Amino acid sequence: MALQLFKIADATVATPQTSIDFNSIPQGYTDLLIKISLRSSDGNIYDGANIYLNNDTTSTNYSFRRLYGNGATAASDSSTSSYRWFWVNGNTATTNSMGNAEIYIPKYTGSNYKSASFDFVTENNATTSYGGIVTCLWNSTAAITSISIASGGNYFMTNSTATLYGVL
Amino acid sequence: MAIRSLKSGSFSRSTQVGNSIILPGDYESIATVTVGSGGTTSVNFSSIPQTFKHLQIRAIHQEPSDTVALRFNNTGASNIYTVHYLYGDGGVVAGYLSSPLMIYFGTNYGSSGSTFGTSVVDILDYTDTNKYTTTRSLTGADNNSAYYRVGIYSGEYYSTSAITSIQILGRSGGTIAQYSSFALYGIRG
Repeated sequence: MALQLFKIADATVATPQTSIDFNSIPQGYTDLLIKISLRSSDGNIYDGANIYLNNDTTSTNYSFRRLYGNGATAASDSSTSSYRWFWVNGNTATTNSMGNAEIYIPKYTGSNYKSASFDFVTENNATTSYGGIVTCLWNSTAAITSISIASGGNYFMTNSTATLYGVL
Repeated sequence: MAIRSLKSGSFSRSTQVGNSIILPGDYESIATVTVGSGGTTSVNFSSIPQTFKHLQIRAIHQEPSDTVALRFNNTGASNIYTVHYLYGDGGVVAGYLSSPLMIYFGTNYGSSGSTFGTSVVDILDYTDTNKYTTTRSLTGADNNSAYYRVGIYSGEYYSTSAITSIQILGRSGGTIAQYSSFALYGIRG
């Protein structure tokens, strides 16, 4: 069968806000996919962004491994206690520039711990700009019913967007 | 036909015997171009509908001399794009291109014969005139010989114009080989 995506919800930031939240996620799909275009109020070129599943803000329930580049060098990092899975444009990146990211969460209603894959890029009219791929884990067997994309202390700027899809 | 519950996301079949199941998805083909005999120097998607939220290109490509790239709205100015990349080819490399004339998205150096590179390119909010357009591409190629590379490329188009056309071409103006295929999809939001 051809790839089937169904929009569940679409959010556009009208005034700066600390998070984009998807609640009451339908349980009838196989996987979830979110396409993300974000810019943070952080005073750097880039900023980390958090993913909270089912409003779980206990960092030790999350982990990741990440391969990334910064426009000059490549590196990898990991954490056994972090929901700060990806990076977005900060507010000193080129004006009007946004990051571009996608998170894919397979079997989000299953009874295993929830794995996710993330690929993200930031952009900036200069050497330094971050992009990478991430494998992520939420140590919970609960079905995912809500997802929060949070700036973690800053704001997501106007015209940031996130679109949640169900996949069959 | 199938009926989808907008509240629960679940599907049910109609009771009409003989009807095939139709899933009214939000991912829709706009156009597909497969390169014919002799190859081509460019593939063009024009008059792109402005009714979707995002665009995605899925491609297999062979351009034996160089990277595969794209331009938006037939714009090829030197100060209108940037590219950043991260790839692995046995080692890991990250880099930046300041005025590349186009956005590189597909690796396929050394591809020849029946080997093709593959790419998936996401173009978000392509009609949004409040921000520049950022692309994200996952790409890879392996010719079962000297060349193999997998990576993620980003590009930015420093214009707030909506994307109405996409031109795909080799970075150095080379020929995109026969059987290369580029499929443009619209994703509703």
